[in-house]
Amino acid sequence: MVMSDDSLIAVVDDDESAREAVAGLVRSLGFLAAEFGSAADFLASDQRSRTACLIADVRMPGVTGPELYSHLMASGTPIPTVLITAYAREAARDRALKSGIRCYLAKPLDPDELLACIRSAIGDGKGRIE
Amino acid sequence: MIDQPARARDFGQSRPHAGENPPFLLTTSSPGRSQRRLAVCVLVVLVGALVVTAPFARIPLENTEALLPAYAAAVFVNEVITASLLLALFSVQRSRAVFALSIGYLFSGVMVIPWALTFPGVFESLGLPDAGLQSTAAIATLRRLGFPIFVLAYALLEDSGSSARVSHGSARSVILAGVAGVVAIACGSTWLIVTSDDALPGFMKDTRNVAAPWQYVPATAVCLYLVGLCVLWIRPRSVLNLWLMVVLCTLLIEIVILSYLSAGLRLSLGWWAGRLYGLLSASLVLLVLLSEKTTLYARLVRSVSAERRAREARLTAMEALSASIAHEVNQPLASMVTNADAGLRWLGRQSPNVDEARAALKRIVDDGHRAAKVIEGITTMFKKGAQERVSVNMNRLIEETLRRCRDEARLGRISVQAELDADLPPVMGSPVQLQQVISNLVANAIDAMTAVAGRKRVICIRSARRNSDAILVSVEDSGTGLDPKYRDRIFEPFFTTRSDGMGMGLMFCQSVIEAHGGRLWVTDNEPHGAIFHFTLPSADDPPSTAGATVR
Repeated sequence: MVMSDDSLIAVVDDDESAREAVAGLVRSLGFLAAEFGSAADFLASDQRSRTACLIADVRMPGVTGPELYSHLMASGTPIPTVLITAYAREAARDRALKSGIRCYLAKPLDPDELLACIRSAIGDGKGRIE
Repeated sequence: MIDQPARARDFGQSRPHAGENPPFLLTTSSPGRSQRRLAVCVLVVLVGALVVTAPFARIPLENTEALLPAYAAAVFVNEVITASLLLALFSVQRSRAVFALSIGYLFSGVMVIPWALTFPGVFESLGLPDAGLQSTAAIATLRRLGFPIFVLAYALLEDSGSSARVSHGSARSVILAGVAGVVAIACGSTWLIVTSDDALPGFMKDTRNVAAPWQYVPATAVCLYLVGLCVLWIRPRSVLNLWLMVVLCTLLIEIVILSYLSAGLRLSLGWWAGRLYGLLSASLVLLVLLSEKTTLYARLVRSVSAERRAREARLTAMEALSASIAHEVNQPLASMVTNADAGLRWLGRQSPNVDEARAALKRIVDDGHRAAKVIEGITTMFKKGAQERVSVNMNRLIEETLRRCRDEARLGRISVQAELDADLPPVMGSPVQLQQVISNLVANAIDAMTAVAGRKRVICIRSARRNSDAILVSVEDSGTGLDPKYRDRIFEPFFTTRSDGMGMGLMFCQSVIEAHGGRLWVTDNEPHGAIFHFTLPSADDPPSTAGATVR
């Protein structure tokens, strides 16, 4: 599978080692990955327009993963989003999926599951996939 | 215990230190200001009543014999109940002084029966054999002089140190012997008095009026009361001592009315007033015992609920702490798994990307270090304030801990034994932490035996050399033992079989012992209970070996 040259997967997590790990896994799965330490960093970045899929941690200081997704929806620039968390809770998962979140994954991530989620996300990516 | 009988020491039995009684017992707590004020008020009222009664003391009240059995029954019941409450106190405190006092009350109560039975004109209607003229007075003499002697014995035995304690386990037989002795003496003396009326001193002129020899009885009684009051006065003031002084004052007033103001005239107004004082003195200690018990119970309820609140607060803090520890450790672990997955993917490609795989491995190493740092931080926090390692004499630590637990053990009717190796080498460690380990294990053992009935409750602590470079300490109980299905879990944090426990005790013990380079484990005791063992490296061990185990 090949993505268009300029599209990428954004990984937003406040924990540096967790962020590096997830981004590393995404790259090993064959995608371009960009790392952001907070939702604000991501929103301010010029790479936002190139983002085909967003992977965000649920619990972050400041804007949380679900809040970031809602913000993108409300501002009319929705991005297919995968939420990841160390505290997977059934109720939160149901709520997230209902609100349009693509996948809700528990850490440590299962690579095949993550791959399936990304594929399904960028499949909706309006022709960004070749 | 079998190998080293000479070293075996029963802490419940020997080594009672004066002044180490459990607080809050009637015999050990000192009366508050309100108690003293109440005692003085009672005395003032009594003296006032004495003054009011005095002018009318010799008015005879005819045909009042019928009231005598009621009076006697009331005194008997009050004094016997007082005696049994005091005996219950004795079985906890094992003080000979309290025993003497309870026997005094029992004697006084039991002797009321023959006194009333032989009283002229009282039980004639029941068809009882008419006792001799002197019988009632002779029995009254025994009772009147006997009680203050027991009070005196109480006052003199009190606080006289180690010899004043009755050994563990024999309380029941001591009580039984005491009760049997009192009953035997009461029966025997009554029989002697009734059958040999002619040989008795001529206390009575007729059924109503006393004769000259009687005057020695109240005089002796007054002397005994005064001596008792003096001895009680110079003793450390306890609630019981205070009210015994009031009792002696009441008896003093009683004898003054009975024998002097009413001139010994039976069934006169003064005589009956004296009887009322007698009833009051018989009830005073009972009332004090009951009210003190209620007060203590309320205090106990308060302290238990306060302790429960504190424990709940501690539990919440522990939950929060453990959640944060879990999070701190889980983060790097999850990253390690993810990095390892990434590395495998890089290597699994048709043309493996070694550089990326190496980068993933490097991140795993970093995460591993990070996790280790978290654990190290927890360990440091755990050891905070107790990092200092000094040479510790475990025997002394054990003895000190047992002394602290002794009262709790005695209240649980548990006998605590120690068999300590006198040649035990010292260990290097934190005395605070090691003492907590021992007291945790002993507290565990006590808890395990609270439900035990029908067999001896014994805790035995042993210390011994183990090989040339370590010591072994074991804490053995005869409690309920370990459920096999929980055996592997008892050292886990938050694991407990108790409904009120926090479950940190054994995990704490294990952490401390392992931090000291030792090992803690548990085995079954035969035929009942469990044995917790731990080893510690001895301090005269070569430092290289110790360094390998002690971090």
